[in-house]
Amino acid sequence: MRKMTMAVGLGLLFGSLGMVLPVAWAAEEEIRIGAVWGLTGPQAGVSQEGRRGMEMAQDLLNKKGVLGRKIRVIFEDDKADPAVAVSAAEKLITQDKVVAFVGGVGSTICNAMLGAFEKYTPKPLGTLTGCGATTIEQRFGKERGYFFVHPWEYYYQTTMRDFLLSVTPRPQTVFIAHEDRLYGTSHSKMAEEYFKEAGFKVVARESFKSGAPDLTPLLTRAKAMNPDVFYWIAYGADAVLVTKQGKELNFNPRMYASTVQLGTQEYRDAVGKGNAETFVGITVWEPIAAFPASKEWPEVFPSTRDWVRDYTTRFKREPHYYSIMSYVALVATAKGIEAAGSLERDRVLGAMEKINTMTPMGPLKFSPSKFAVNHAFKQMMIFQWQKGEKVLVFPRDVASGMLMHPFPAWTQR
Amino acid sequence: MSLALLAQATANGLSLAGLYALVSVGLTLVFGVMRILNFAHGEFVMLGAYASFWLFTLWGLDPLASLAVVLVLMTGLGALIQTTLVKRVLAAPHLNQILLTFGIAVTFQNLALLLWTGDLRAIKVWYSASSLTLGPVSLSLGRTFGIGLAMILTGLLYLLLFRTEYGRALRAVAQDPEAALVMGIPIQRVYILAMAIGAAYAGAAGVVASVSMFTYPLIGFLFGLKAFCVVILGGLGSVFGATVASLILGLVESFVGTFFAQGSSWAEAISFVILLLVLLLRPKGLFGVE
Repeated sequence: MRKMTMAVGLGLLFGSLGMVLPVAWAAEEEIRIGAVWGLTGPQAGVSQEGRRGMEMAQDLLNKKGVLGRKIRVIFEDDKADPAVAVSAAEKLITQDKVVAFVGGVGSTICNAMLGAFEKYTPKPLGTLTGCGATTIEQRFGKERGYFFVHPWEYYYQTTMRDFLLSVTPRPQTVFIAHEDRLYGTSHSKMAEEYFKEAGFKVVARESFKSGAPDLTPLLTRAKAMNPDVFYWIAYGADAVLVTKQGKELNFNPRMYASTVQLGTQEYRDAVGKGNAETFVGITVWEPIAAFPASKEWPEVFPSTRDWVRDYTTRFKREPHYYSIMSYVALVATAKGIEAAGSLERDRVLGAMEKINTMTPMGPLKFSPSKFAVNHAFKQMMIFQWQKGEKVLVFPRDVASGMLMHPFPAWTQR
Repeated sequence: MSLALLAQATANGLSLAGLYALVSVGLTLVFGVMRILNFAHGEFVMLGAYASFWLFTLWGLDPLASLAVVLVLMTGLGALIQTTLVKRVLAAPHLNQILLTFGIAVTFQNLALLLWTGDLRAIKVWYSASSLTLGPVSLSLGRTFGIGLAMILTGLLYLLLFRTEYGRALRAVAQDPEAALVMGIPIQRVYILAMAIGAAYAGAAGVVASVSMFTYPLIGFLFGLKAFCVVILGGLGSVFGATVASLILGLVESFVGTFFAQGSSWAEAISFVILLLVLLLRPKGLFGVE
């Protein structure tokens, strides 16, 4: 009886080990990638777009695997709060032992995270989608392990300046409003400088709290100054409020213009097609671009048309540029690991520096920018909401339609 | 400063005050009656906003009509939370009460995230971004709906408090729960009533938010923080104080944001400076009692 009890006990023990061990083994086999996004809060719109792009890349890469292993992206929510982002990143490094960081949105968040990485030797590898502030480029751009795939703010602001210069009749006065953290402050300073150099009169550059429930004081103030262009640099929730409350106040500048967060489907759905009409924004990429498939890796970098079709079929929504940027960032990192033949940091970054291929987002090659060693995707475009769709209106060589100008007054719609 | 600008800033401030009043009246009532700080109050606003959004999206129910449904749903939720959870910590130390309500808040946030994702949601009805023009002043219809609702609901609350037996019971429990118990007032039922009203009023604020702005799972924090500011300024437990404090904060934030450069960034900080000054000079708040 005693022997039987021992046998059953041992059987149960080995049985349970048998169940546990393969799981533990499989977990070790994974290549873990850390992804810190503002999945809730004022940056949720673009963050969810970015997450979708990464999930799509992960599934596609895992069909064949990378170095015979599965890629597992571990998502963390920073709630658009730099302190939360730093805690999340440290958890990913120390507990989850991620090989690299991919993705992210917001210069304020990026700045805080990269600041926290300073204490690690070597610093974590990163293919970073959300760092656009020049401050970040100056402070962290020399680090070879950071691959920046988002255009720097001077690309934004020179594109907006050149666009405004191309508008007929040319606007004379601009009111710049910006959220009061690093992203908005840094971008707005640069915008003011470039606009003034180009001969525009900046009637005010005013800050506000991102995510605030009421922007009517700011919009009332701007309305009283009667600017030709109301240009705001902030996040998705703020764009919804500017549109709704601008309409409520019957504020009719000749142009409403903003940056990238105006381009989400979430924004259009929240304000409605009619209210978004003629609003102008900056973008890195739009689904109507027509880049061919990669010669080297056509299975993961198909043509833009095919990629957009696959994305739309899977998620039942059109992709945002953050969707494709995060997709390309994850695939590029995986291809770097594959080419390096190991997870050893310096070998991976060396392999990534050699990437030179076409992607559905455009040519991918890391090269120096003003202050950074590794930066890709430098061109930006201007879009306008027209009948619920985004139309590229600048530069002329990529334009898919004509600019509707001036903004039709709210009461005349 | 033109008269037109002053009038517009006043209108903006009043509409903001209406929203603040709707959010904070319920919170102060709950504190007044039970002496408990409900950290999940902001989440009631969020749930009210989502209820309004889904009633509109799934069944096309206009927020003006769904308001009644939301009030009923939130009353039920408030009563349920009181009877199942809050009741258990009423005699416990304040830290336990804070931890419990904070836990409820986090649970609701995560449930909302799980069920409805982090996307911004907004209701698009004809009056959601429309305005009424009165001379140089544009009055947002969505936010005017908020002011009207705040006035009606606050008026009803005053009627309840000062013209009904239930109100007398609420005030009696707020003044001295033990004496109220001795006098035969069923204080557990009074507590349920207070929490139910608090949740319903927060839900009503959520309906206004879903129309005039948007909602997402963490929006409750934004409103919860502001409600605490209002309630402390007005005096913990004072419905009248919360109404006056809402007016003060709404108008101050609007005037500072409209008439001062960088004012929109400073408005909130100035609200907190006012709060600090009032607390220094009158620690019980404007209309609080010792």
